Amino acid sequence: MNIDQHWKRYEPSSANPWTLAKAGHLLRRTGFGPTTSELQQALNDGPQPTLDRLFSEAKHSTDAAQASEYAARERSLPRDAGGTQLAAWWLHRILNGSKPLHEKICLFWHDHFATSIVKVQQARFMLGHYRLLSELALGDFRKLVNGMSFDPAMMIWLDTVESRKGKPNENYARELMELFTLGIGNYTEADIREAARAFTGYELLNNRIVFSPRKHDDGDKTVFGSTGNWNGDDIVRLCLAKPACAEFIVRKLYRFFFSDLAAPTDDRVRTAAALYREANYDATTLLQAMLRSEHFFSPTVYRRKVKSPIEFAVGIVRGLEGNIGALPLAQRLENLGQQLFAPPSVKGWDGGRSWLNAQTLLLRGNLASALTSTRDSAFTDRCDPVKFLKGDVSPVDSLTKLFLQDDLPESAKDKLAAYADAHPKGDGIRSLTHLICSLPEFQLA
Amino acid sequence: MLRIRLIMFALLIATTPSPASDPLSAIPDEADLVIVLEKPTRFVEAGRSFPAIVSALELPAVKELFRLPNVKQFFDLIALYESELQTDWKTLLNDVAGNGIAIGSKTDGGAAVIVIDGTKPKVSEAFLNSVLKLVAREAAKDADKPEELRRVKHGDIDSVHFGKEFHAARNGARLYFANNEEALHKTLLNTPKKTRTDARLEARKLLSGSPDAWLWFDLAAAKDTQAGRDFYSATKRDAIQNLVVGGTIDALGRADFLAAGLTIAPKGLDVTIRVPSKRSELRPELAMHVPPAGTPGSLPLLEPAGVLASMSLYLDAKTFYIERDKLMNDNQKADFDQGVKDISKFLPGSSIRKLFEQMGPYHRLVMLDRVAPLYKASPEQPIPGFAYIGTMRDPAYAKTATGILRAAALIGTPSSGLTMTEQTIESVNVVVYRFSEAKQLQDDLEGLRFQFSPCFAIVGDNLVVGSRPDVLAPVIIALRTEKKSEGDPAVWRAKAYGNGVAGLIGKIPEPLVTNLMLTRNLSLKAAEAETKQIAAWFETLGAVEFRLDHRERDYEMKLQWTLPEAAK
Repeated sequence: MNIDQHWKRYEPSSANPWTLAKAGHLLRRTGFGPTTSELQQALNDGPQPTLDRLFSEAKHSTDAAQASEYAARERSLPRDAGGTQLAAWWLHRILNGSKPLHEKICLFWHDHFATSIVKVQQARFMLGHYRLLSELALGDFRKLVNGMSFDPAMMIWLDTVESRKGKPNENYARELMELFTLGIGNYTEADIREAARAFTGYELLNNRIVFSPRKHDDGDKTVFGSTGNWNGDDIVRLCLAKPACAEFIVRKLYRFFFSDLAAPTDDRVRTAAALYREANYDATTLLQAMLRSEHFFSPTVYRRKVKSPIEFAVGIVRGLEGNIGALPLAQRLENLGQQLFAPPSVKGWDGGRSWLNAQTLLLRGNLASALTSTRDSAFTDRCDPVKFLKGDVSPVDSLTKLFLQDDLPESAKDKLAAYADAHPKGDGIRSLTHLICSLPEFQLA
Repeated sequence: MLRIRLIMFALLIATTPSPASDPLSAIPDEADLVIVLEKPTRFVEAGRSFPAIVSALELPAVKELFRLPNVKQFFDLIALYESELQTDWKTLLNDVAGNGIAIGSKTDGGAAVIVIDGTKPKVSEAFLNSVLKLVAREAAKDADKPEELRRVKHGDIDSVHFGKEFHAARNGARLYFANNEEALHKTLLNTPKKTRTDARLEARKLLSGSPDAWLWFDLAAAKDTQAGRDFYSATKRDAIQNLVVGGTIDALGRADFLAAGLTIAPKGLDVTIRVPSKRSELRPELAMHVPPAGTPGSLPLLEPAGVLASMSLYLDAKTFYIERDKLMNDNQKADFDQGVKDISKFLPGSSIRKLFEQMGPYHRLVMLDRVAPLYKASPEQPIPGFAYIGTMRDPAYAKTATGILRAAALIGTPSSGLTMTEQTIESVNVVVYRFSEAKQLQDDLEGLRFQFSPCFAIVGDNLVVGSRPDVLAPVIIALRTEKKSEGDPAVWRAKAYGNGVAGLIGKIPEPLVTNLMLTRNLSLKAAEAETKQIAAWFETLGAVEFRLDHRERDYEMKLQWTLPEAAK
């Protein structure tokens, strides 16, 4: 099967031109919301140079990297640090870093290998978990799953540290197949039972994972019909050897980067999965093909995702080039249902439409107001639309271009213009920004 | 509504009365909480010039808060009053509130009345008009259909009303503001009973001195509620409550009112809370909290080098043991008896009663800035070292207590791998324990034990127990060099030292630097610079002491903030 047949590359043409809306779409899905200059650069450069830039290993700016490393020191982020501080640490990278795609894909894998500090209880292990995700986020999925199998946070989260020869705990083996690699229907209960034996013998000792050979089951195990003295890495290898694995990951990536509503066609899934396998599970190869496709820029994908709370809030802050603290933002995001390092269950966040209900919509509005009104004691004037616009004479145009790439109903724009005419300065501009961030279109990625 | 509340707050600051009893006499009988500012101008000026506040204003975090629109609006309001009435705020404050301010509130329901006695009726009138104009303007901003101003006659006095929260009136140089219409009407129409006003003035008398602000709270009414009755019946036989706060709860239970006063001076600030409960009337079974007449309430606070906090208190274990049946509920008594039985196994030839009799009633605790790692596996976030210093009535206590400590360590040895050594620190023999780093403790997966290397020693007539050996040297030196004074009448004292906190920040800056980066998105460089600035600010704060004293005629809780010489 040819990848080009189902993931045909998007080439701008007069019939399907490269527009500000498409540039915004690409930057929203591959990051957390663009700045005006990022939008303009993407519009000028076109899709391929923009994607190249996103995938290039751009280093974090020295200041942001220094601050992030300092804040990750043991004395800064001790073992017993709270979940909010930990979430703020990552949010600080998202807000200040120069690698939005990298952080976005880390967020995807965090949701995929959903592990929570609520059970793990040790911030240092969760930090290590993030570092593993970060190191392999755009790389080899096989290495990532192997690393995850022996990641201390994951081993506590799914009870591998309790698993002994004769008393294997099946939690990790089950989720490895059901949620991490294959999906329901591609394994049997017997496979899980046998695979669980391969993960026995690991203990948490003095805050370190230690392998105790006498507690490890080194007998033969039969998994997916293959028999041998398999260890954890072998089980991962057996899972990844099944065609269902690559297809499972493609479907999850599609839901995360493409659409909450529609599932990809089987042909699309099969061709992308084949590419993924051929590339030895290299995430960059797969994502570059998917994100460069005509399908990605098509109306069936455009604005077919609800922004997560992080995308919503960081989008506002980045857009306005704000300089807010990650800690107060992390606290507010908890109310909206998204605390980094604390997904609600092993299945991760439900996402999609579940992000929105009467209460969260109200809270989103309140958060937008807190960020932009300059009246909130936690955010003060650090994300002030008035400062950002610097006396811009057409704030409605600038703000709708930034946040919605001018793609909003004329009637809505007219109402915004009327409001701006009546409230042309100071708090009027701030309220206008709040109104734009409360529009239904702004809730969509 | 926020803006209207700001105006109300600005009114409070921009106003204040002369004879102490004057505005107080207008507060309705129903108020169960009354606050009085006798000299508002002095109060505001003292606050504005208080060195710790002045220096705090230089901290970037505080400066940032001053950029908040609500804060700016407050200052804009003051400026507006100054401009409309063509005067400066100090003169305005004196004209409008020179004879004092009294605030009465009914805590159940939240109705509050402010009575402001000025010195110039004309200025009070102009001021009220200016306030009304502002309120009308703000009300118009807040709603599509702004509230109309209503006027109501009360004999010779007109009251004005905006919506549900703003109610005001003027009588000569006296202004009234309320957040509840009925409360204002009662204030204007009813003459409070003299007995009620006199009762409130008792609070003022009890405080003595010249507080810048004082408060009366109706304890009798609070205790008469179901919640108050439940609290007292639940705590009477609760051993923990009786041990920790038994004296305070008893004193509050015997009093009809509580008085509190705030005094601000260039050398510091103090808050005094008193209740008219005599020392002689304390429940006899609580005598463990009060020393016999003629003996000190507590020993002097120990202040060794690097002290972060120091505590000194009186607690007589012997009396507690004798009175235990009256101080514990049945479950606690059963647990206590079992504990006594268990400990007795380690007291050959002695008993718990004897131990409690031998133990002295004076206890001290110090926390020091000792945070250097004790083990290779030292926890990343160190807990500062601390030491307990207890007096002995009988030298035999030294043998009994150290025997118990050694036995307890011996029991813990197999599981924790404790090893014991003896060291000489400042010529004193010290027993030091260390935990094994090779042993895993299921109960301490976090490695909390690596914050400690417990140690103990006998120094004169004191038993000293430290969390780590390096706290013992400064404590021993402090014990040897302390003046053998008669101690202090307060039965409980605790003091925190600004320079100690500054030193600790210097030794462990990471938590604060990180907090600044994550809270305000500062760069590492800026956060480190601000951390230094905050540490330097702590240096200027001096010390804050909290003390409890069962006095002959009343019970006193006092917070004293003393600034260092340089900051005065």
